[in-house]
Amino acid sequence: MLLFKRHRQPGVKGWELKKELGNNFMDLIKVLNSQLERLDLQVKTIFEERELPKKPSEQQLDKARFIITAKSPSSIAETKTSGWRVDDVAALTVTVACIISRQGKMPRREIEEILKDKFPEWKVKSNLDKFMKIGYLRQDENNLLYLDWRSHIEIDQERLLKLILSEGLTAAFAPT
Amino acid sequence: MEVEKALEIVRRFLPDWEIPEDLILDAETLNQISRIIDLQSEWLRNRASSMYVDPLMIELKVRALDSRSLSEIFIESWHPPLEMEQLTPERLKESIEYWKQLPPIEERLKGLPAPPSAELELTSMDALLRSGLLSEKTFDEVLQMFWQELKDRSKVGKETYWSFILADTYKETILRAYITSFLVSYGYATLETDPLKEDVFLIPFEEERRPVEKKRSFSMPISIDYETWKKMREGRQIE
Repeated sequence: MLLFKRHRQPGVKGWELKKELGNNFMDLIKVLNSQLERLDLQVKTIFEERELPKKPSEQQLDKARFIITAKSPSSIAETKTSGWRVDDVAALTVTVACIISRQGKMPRREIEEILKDKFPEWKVKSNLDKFMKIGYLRQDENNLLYLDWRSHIEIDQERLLKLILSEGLTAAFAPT
Repeated sequence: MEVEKALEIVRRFLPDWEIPEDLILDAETLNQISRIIDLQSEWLRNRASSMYVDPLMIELKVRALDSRSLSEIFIESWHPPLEMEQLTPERLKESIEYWKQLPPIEERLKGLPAPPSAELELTSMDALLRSGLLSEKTFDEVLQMFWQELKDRSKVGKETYWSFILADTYKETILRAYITSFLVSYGYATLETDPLKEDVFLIPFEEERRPVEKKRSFSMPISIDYETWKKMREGRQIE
């Protein structure tokens, strides 16, 4: 159930797990997690709320999505074979980082301005549209960009920001 | 914004207000101040969280980094999900059963009703005359007659569209609706709507008015099906 896709999204909702496994499905998820750890995998719970609940209620768990993801970040070699171009990944990184730093939303026009610094306009527009299509971003009627389900599932947002902030320092102290 | 100071000002002037408009303005001020407190609290929560970073700092950093460094950062914080794209044995079983029970397409087509022999088309004036819906009287005469009837009926009070077109038979009602549409299009009358009661009124003009320019005119589709006619008819009988 955790591995199959529903429509375009992978994973399964809490209420579906409860229906199949019973009320104690969270205990089973914990057991599964310990088993998956050996394979460097984990069951990730994505809540509908932006802030993670400290002690999720039954209702919050019902609405949450459960997905199996890689526990450790993938290696660069693996990513090279996954069909992503380096400049596409860079554009996604910039977009996601800027949106997180602006409390989760940012006008599309401003993102485009930043990306146009390094990429041609047509590439910027097609990239943003692509990121929206595959679920990394979503846009509202006021042309504000938000992170969508795939960003919440796949990206360790706190780590991403820390790595960006520390990147300059790493470069400064790197041996010449 | 210094909320306390703003509230102090509101409090100081409150005893001087006499008219309700001033008090309403005060209420509006309090509402805006509470909105500011809400936004300030959200801003503080965000700043206090581990995710807070100065947006400008992030923007400067990402502008300074090259594509390769940015990609490496992404990959170091990326946890791709596992997905399986294959059929389950249950789904396969269902599919086989479906295939077995599905009749050949030729048989399925046989069950469908035959298409109507004549295609739908717009009714022309000739067709109405041929079918007897319109008499041999000239159309203009009929129009004048309807206009006069509408003017007479409107003397008592505003005439609703439905009360004007409603007749004893469905066929006659359709005919009246058809002619009424010309009354409006040719500038003998106009339609007025009451958005609250959803009523449509027919207002006759005393003199014929030339149709307004296209850009200022509008269309108002009114559906007249048999069921609606029946309901309207029953409603009139009750009255």
